[in-house]
Amino acid sequence: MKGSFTNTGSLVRFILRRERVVSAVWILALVLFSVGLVPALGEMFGGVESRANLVGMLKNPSMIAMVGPAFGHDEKDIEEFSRHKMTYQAAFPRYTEYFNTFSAQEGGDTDDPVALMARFSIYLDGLNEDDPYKTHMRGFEDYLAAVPFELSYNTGALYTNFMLLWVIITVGIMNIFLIARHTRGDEEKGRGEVVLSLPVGRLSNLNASMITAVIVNTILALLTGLGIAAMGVEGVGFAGSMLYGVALGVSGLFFAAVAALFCQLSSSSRGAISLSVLALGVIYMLRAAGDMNGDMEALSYISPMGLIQRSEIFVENYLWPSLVVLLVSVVITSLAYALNTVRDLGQGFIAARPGRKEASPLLSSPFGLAFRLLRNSVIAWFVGIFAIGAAYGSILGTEAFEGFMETNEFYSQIMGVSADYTATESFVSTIGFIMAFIAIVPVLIAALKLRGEEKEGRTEHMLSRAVSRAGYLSSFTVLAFLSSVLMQCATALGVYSAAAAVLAESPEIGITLGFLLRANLVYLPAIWVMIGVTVLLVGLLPKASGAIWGYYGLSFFLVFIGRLPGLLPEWAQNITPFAFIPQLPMEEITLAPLAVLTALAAVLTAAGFIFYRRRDMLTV
Amino acid sequence: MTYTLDIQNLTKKFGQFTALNDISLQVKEGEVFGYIGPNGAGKTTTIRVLLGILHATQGGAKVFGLDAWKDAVEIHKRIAYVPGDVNLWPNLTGGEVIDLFVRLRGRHDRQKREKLLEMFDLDPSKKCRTYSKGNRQKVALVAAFASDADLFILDEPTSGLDPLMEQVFQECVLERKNSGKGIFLSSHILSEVERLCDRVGIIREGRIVETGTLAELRHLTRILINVAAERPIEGLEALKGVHEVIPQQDGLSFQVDSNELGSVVSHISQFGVKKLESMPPTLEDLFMRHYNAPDARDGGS
Repeated sequence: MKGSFTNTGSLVRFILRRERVVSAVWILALVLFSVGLVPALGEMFGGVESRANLVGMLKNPSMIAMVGPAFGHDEKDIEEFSRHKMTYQAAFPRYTEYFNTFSAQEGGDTDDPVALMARFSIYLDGLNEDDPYKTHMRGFEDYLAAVPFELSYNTGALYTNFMLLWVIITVGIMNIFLIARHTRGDEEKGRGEVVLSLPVGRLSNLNASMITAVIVNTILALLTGLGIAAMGVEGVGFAGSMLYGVALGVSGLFFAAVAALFCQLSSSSRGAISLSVLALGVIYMLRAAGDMNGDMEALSYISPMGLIQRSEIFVENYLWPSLVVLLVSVVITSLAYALNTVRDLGQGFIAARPGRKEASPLLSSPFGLAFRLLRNSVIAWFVGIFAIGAAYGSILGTEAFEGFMETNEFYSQIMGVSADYTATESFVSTIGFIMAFIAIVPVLIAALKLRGEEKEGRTEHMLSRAVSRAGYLSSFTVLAFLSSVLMQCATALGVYSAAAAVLAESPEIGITLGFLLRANLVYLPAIWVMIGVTVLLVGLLPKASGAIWGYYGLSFFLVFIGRLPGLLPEWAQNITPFAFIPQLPMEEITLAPLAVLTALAAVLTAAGFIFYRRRDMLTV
Repeated sequence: MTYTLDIQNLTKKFGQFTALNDISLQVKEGEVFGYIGPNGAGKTTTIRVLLGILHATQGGAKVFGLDAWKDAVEIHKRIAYVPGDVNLWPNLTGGEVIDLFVRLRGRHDRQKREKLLEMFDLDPSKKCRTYSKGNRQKVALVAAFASDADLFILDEPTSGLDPLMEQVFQECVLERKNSGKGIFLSSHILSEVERLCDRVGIIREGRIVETGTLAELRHLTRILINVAAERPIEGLEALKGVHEVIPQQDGLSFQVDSNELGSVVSHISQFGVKKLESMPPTLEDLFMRHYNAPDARDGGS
């Protein structure tokens, strides 16, 4: 077709003008976060010893499922180091006594064993210099000095192992929103046809959106790379830093391409976003399955996330994975362009069917409407979360997992952890944490739906009829609370459905459906606080209600980073409700914090109602 | 006298911007009230305050004698509202939305619904995302007229309808009017207001500039006269209330204030009138007079 790309340049400038705040905030937040943690992590794991401990933690199957494999360390070196250390520690007669004192101070076993041991190391480090243990261990240091060996696990590799995947996910979501906003979103709002009526080509808008994505991701890659390099931390070289930036940018472009494709297939912007985020989830799970099971490592290579991780940044600095992902992105983009030229404006390839002529009896109240509007999304998320839970569950009890358990046992042993918690249990607790954060998404979507309705000018349909504001707000709020329970059950049922056979065979693992339900439902009070904050925002600061996603992201990183002992001060962790949720089975359920969280959620929600009843309805 | 709708000294500010400045107006029982004004004058804001969607900064509004903000739900049981910009749920069908709206008011008259769907020629099985602006408006109109409300608040309800549908709409309004229902109609289509409304209020830049029956309002304006006489008409300019005298091919045209019409007609009859045409001011003239008021130029439309 002739002139398909006419005036793309003007449209790019136009989109950049519209993006100058949103994208700038995304980029700034991502860069600050990425760069800021380099020195923090480097300092935290400055010593050989803490680094060896960290490798032990990263070898834990639950960590591999979460962040992927750790590259860049020589296992033999670390094992040797640990063995020597163990020998030395064991030779110290009162080691067990010290551990017991420490445990008593901690108030019993309150965390997963690896973190507990890491804290114990810090405790030992903090002893007086003339403490018998310190004197004893000084002999070990002398030994290390006398018999040097290379510990190649540098700060850069550590940083990449720990961070890359999460930042890729965030960048992916940024790009999905960016593309959906400027293609499907504009079409839906009727702005698309205004643009198409101008002398622009059929593909100009999609092309301009993709070029904008290229610009945004390039800026992100450059700033991140240069920023990390500028921190001048040892082991974080320039080439690696730049490759880290490139890996992020390329991953971002990949998800922009995926979103562009789904924007052609789906007939609404919400559908396109849902499908793209689902694809992101599948890509994440593919690599988790591949990373966990050596026989299926091919899966990690199929998944762009897994492939990017195999750049071995700061270790080998391979460029080819980024090039492959870039190539795949170009192919997907071309496919999206091809589909865009053949479809009609406002249409998707999934055709719309004629619907009901009359409403079902259910659709006769604000609650009925809220249910109808959220039904499909809740069902889809339930199925999705069940499936992810099942994917994690299927890892339990496989041979590969047993292998990991052995490795883990080795590390546990050398670190002196008693076999109180199995790797399975620690794994289950980690799943609970990740899944809770996935499961909040549909819950917050439900709570925020009301604000979306208001912005679209549909609230007045309801409020101009015999519907009270409290009744209208409570319809959506009640559904948010209900779906929080549903989603947490979906996780437990998903894990159980896939692991049931294994778990039944080995009752000694001690994981029952009842346990899984408890371990997941225990997150509810924290999720409810998130709902409460959302309702309060909708009532008090409606224009800023999207800020809940910032709080959500912050909570995730605080809890995630909080697993590294000592990196964050206690107060910083405590600004998220999730810090107060016990991780079963390593911790026990204590009612007080849960009751306080629930009460807090109730207060926040009630305050939201009070403000909502008082304020003007806005269409902006 | 009880008013269906009673706005007293209502002021609404959005931050520094004053959207409504001390407006007062009343709608009597069984009356059709036309609310006209240029874009951005404050028509929709007034309606949103009446519906309790916006909170008045000062003053207030009463509907059926109840407070529009505090007793919103009670009031809404007897109101039907059609917004100017009808935005519907893209994944619900028109039929579903109509049913939802009607059921929220309680009484559900299926026959009426079917009849209205037929009158407005609307396919209820289509998803709202496929409807045009006019069709979305029809959904809101069917839902409103299918309900048994006492007061209809209609915000530019016909801006997207074709002339045929506008006819249907006017029939529906007249039918409600004849059965004694109150109607508050904000509109731009002046012929529609002229045909339907008993009384009219004009709002400009957040202030009510004129209210009254059409006859009363006409009284305040000038009548255009074309006259041809046997002898040249003299002394016309000197008369009170005569403006813009322009010679025509076979006579004169001029404007005269309505209240001076009698004396002017008796003056010109002295010259042997051959032809006399008088054109009453249309609502449009009225409207344009307020649009073009000197202090309206920099704001408003």
